[in-house]
Amino acid sequence: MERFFLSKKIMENTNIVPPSAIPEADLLREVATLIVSALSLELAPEEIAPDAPLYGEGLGLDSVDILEIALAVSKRFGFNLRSDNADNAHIFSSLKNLSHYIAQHRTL
Amino acid sequence: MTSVESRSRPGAGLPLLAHDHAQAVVAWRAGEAVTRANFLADVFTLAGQLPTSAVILNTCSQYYNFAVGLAAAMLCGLETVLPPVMTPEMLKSLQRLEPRLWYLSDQAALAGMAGLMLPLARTHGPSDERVPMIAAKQTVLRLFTSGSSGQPVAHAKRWGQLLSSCRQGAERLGLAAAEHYQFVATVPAQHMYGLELAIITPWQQQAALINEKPFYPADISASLQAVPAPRVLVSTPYHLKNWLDSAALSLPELTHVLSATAPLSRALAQRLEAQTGAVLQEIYGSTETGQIASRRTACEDRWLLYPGLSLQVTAEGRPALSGGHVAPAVALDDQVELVQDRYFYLRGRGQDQVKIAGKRSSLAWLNSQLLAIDGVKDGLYLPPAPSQSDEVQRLAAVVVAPDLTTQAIMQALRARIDPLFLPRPLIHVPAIVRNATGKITQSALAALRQHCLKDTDA
Repeated sequence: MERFFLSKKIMENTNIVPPSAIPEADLLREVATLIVSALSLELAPEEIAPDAPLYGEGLGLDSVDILEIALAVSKRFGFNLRSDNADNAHIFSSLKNLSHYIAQHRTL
Repeated sequence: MTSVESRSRPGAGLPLLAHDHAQAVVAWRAGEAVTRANFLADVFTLAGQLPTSAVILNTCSQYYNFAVGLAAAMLCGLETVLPPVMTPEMLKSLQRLEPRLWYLSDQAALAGMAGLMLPLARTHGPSDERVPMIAAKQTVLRLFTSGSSGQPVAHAKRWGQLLSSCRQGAERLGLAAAEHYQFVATVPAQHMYGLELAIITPWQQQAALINEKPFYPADISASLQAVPAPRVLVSTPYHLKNWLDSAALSLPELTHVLSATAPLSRALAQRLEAQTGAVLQEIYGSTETGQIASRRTACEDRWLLYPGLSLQVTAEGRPALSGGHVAPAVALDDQVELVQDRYFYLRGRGQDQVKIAGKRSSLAWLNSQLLAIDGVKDGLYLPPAPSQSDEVQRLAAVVVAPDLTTQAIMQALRARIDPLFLPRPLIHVPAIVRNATGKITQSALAALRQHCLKDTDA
């Protein structure tokens, strides 16, 4: 837990563009790319509709995929998904919701 | 060492729990300790609600709920069945086999079946009574595997047999003195591994099970940190690798890590031991046999059979296990290489069984499910190429179904099989060439593989 807060403090004190200032569309594309590469899916990131469900229907991801994505998110964005922080079903209910959640919690 | 079963006097029974006083902690639920007295009160409360003649389908996802459900059913002399997957088609198959099916659930009610949602409000007072005894010969469980015929296959378990296997496991795994230990698990209680290591072992070793099943790596750390040491983590290579690789995650101290359902690499075992201070033991077993062998992966490639068990190679070249709690002899699907003094190496899986992220299925069964879909004229899951990678490998499938979209086929499969085994990719082909006995020739298979590769590279 300590390492998580330390990295956040370093981010706040250095002179770089804060994560929240990065345009939404760019983040959406980046998260879509992360999903496609983490799961070796055969589609282009642009083919993931922002509002389509990710889990179950729509993209049809299962629980193993969710864990793969959580790992990729932790490495790229520096935070760990938790079951009790927010509703899994909501976070993965669409690419847009996942990106929004990442935007709120990222430390990298 | 004689089995627990053979040492019991006829009719005497074996205790449900080994905890030797009413205030002993048997579980943790939402951060609160549950005493033996209160656990038994919950068990008696539920026992009073079960029908007198039923077969209990225990689908509880959380361990305390599962434990109360199993204990109550055993006390009432009712068998509990555990399905391999919880799809609508599987439930229908089970209902056809067992019309008196009655469910216990802690997630959602099941349509088309009578049952009860857990947890119930406790109506029985805390119980200072003696721990209930269950006859060693009582058939307490039937676990189902997906059979190659397309129908689920039942494996009956008797109480004495289960205790014997778990007692041996505890001694081998260094858990013989696990009183006051906390067991956190990530595996379903409905499968043999979770049943033995996350439910029965804590019961029998005076340890405590944790109700909540962590999902994300951060949840695993949180679950461990929420309970006092000593802690045991019951998990699989897939979850353990993700946990270890997660960035910025603290790994709490543990005394034991148990892993099963798929081979774990020595490198991963060494990393885990270094980061957690734990001893990591891998367990080998199956639904048919229960746990039968172990190894300390960080130092040892060979598996050692539990005492009293022996492995022979049959006339057909397949390994067969017998002795102890495994009788009659059971053929194993994996390829093994026997070495002296009951050590063996695992040398690859058999032809039919497949595993994804530690979950098991049968290619023959998966094919039967694909072919059962209306509009599928022919279809085949491609046997996976052997892989040493830690990455999750999905199964490709080809299908002859000119009138169905991929989406329609996937939807139909979802009602039948665990989503982990949905084909990736699913390729439409004009025909599948089979020989006179209906099998795919090796050359036809190679051609189909090429076809799939080309398709995914497109």
